[in-house]
Amino acid sequence: MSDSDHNRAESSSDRDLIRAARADAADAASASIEPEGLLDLPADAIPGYTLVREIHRGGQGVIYLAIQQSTKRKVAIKVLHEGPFAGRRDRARFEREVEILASLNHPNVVVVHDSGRAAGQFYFVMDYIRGRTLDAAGSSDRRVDETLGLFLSICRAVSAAHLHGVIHRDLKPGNIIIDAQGQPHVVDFGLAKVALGDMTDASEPQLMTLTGQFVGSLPWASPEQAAGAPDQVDVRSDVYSLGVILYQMLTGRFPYEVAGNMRDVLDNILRTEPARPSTIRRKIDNEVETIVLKCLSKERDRRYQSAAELAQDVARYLAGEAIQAKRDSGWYVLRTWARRHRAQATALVSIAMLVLAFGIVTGLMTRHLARVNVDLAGQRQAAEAAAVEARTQAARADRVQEFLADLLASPDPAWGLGRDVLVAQVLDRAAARVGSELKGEPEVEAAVRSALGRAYFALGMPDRAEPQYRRCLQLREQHLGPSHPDTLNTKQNLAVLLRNTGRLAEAQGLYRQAIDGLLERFGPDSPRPYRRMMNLARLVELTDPPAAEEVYQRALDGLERALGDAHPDVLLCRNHYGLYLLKRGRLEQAGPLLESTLAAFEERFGVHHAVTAIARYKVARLRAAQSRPVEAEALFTQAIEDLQAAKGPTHPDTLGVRHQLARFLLDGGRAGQAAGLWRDIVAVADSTTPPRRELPVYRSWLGRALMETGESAEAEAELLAARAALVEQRGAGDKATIAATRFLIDLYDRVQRPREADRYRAMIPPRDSEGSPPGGG
Amino acid sequence: MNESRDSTLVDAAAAGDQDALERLLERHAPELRRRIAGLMPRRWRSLLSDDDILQQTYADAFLSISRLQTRDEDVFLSWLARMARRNLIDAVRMLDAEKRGGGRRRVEPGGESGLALYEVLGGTSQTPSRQAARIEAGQALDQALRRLPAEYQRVVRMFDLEGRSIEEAAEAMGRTTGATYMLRIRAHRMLCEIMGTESKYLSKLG
Repeated sequence: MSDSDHNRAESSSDRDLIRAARADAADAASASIEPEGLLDLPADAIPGYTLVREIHRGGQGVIYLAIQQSTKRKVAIKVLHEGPFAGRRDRARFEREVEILASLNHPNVVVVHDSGRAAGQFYFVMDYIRGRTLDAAGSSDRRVDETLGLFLSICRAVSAAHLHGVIHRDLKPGNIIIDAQGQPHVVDFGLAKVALGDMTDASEPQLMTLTGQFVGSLPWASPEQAAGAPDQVDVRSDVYSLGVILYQMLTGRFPYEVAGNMRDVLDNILRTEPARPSTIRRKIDNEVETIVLKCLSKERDRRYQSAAELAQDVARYLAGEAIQAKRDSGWYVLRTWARRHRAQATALVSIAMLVLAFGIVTGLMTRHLARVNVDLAGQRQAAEAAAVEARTQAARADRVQEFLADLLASPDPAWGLGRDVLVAQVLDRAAARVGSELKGEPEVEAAVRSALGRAYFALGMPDRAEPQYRRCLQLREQHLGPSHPDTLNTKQNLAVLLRNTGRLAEAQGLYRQAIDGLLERFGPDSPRPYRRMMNLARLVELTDPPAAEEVYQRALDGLERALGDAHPDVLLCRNHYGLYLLKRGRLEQAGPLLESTLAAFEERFGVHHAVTAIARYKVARLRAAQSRPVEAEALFTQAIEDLQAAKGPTHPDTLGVRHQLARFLLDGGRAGQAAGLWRDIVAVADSTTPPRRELPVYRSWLGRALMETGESAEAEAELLAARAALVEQRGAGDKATIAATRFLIDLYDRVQRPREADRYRAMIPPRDSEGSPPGGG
Repeated sequence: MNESRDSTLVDAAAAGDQDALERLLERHAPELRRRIAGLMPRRWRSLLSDDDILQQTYADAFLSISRLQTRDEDVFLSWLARMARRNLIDAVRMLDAEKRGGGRRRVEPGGESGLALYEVLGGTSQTPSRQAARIEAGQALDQALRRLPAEYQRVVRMFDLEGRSIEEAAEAMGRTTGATYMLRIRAHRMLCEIMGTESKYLSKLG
């Protein structure tokens, strides 16, 4: 992050604090001057409570502000209309609302404390939330990310209801209260239904009466509600209403005309496509627009399938990650195409990478020109000098553009290969020319080399990425200084590369340098150094596990100090530390860390989010270590399902968790199932371009499982192939290579081929010959 | 125009224009943050952040801007910084007292240990007519508590009266521990104000 980004973030945080303080102050100032309201019930009508005033009158009942006499706490009491004369259906619906609210336990859903009947009045008591409804709070003037942050909390509350099988069916801004802290609370489940409930239940509210009158809130209704098809109303109907709410929050308007006669409004809900939000508010970007429009799809199948899924995409956007909705429409299609046409895809990737490099360079130039413009506003003399500089920089930007365009357009033997052109050849051409053609422009050269390094690395070519990173680092250290954020980023990139290629000591050194630089630049109260320290701890764990503990603790202390208890980075660090403790066999310490972070992730990101899935997988390992195999297997299975949905079957995380499940099965004596699972993992890991780095590890474990099922010949073939690949990839002394070697020795011992066993025994470095069981954690 | 000496904005803020005050606070936030940065003792940094102190200070500013006599923006900043330091000192005192075990007692309004919170708030129960004073102080406390905003009541009840830990109170209230500490400080101050006006109705102590 640049300084200006940092300042912006700080000023935004100050603005939030000031707004929260203003709300707090308003709360405190008004506390002693609570306005009196009219009451149509005696103040003592509900035993144990003193009614203060009426705060809302709805179709089903009246809500009063009251004081609970025993605790003097303010509460809200909803009293059913018509008291003892209320109809059976109204009463049943009222009781249903009480049951539903009582079953939900979410910080953004109002809590029910008590219910009953007094003097013929049906009532229930809930939290009194001081605040304003979402429509009264006025949201279209919030920044887009602020709006989405608020909306995310609303989605999570609705998701909590969905997880309990409850569909709200009347979501609208008037049913969302924003409290003094800016937190939304979903209220009024009076029209909610239980998803699996009996449709003929008398308490089931009908959305369309016999006379065709619509019950509920038409402007936010889904097409299936508007069509009067109650059997089609499900959680996706709430997703639609959330879409209308988000549309309003972002633009201040409805997606279509909702004024006028009911027939026209129903027709609009059923058939009129929403105006694109970005045509109303230009700051709404393509991804946010995609999220809104996906919610508002007329077809249920094309919407998000639950509020949790919607929340996940919003969270992804806020975290700067690619949204799922976008992937379905673009990236997913591209990936599918790429699988069928690998050669063309690689060429395409290379072009994309160069365009990326150009984008970075252009960004650099733009930033530079912006600085120059600021200068222009200063002194005239400086302005003239700056103008000259600006022209020079612009000319350089043009040359870079020319350089890249020329690279792609000029004749080259590689292009003669047509579709078989290899990405490496295109990148190599760029790498060969960047040094000479951008000589004298170190910032630009460094930016291009950084992009090339990342392109090579992403394509599984670390050997070619490394010189690019190293030259980039050298340039940045010389021209920007060792503690400049760009220099530190390059160190981080190089450290990741070194870690992935097994050069752990050098990687650790770079991490430490990056941490020192961040401490120097941002101070010990910034979270930045501690994020890197968390990565360093994981690295140290690989080489010197006991030493890693102190690094984990320092990282955790620093992050907690800088970010508080509940920040995702703090939770993530605790989660990593929990796994570390679990691997060291310290289950009593690991348990609370892993369990509490899983609960926090569920709460924060939703139960199906990829981050939650990884946390769940760790609890699965905990359960396995606690000899609770049934729970462990269920947790593994759910984690894998969620990862497959969130990250896809070929993602290293998905494969890694499946691999751990296979190990769990093997440990439990289910070698046949484990072998079947590893066969599939190997096939998937081999289907990517290039194949997944862990492929030989999976093959070695497949060999291990086959050994247990008695398929010795196939086991030998897998183990030999795996070991050869590991030696080439990581060297003979690597842990995984040694594990595969041990498997081979076991196999040869079992089939009584002592000469081969001894030959491989001799290949294990002495210090590992009596080491831990093969495979490691 | 020199923004740092814009008396119009201070005028407007003091006259009750909260948007003007918000702009003024935003303008001085970086300097205020700089002034209190590093003042928080390291031992309490895991519990309380600069943001907690700042938020309390801003809330104080909204509540007491009408009492500000000056129209000079530099004086406004000094006033703000003084409040921030006072908040910081109060917070540190409370945390230190709790560490020593003196600021934290399980009490019941009007019960045997009913004067404990009253004492924490600065009153005294060292009196020959202790029994009468205890009953009256307990009743006064109970009445004062009812006049607090709901969240203030909650934190005092949970922390001071029910003996729950600040972490438990924070969790129940959906706040961070730091924010909950600051809320308790605010609640105590307001209780002191209310009790101060009501103390004249208590039996004379001591």
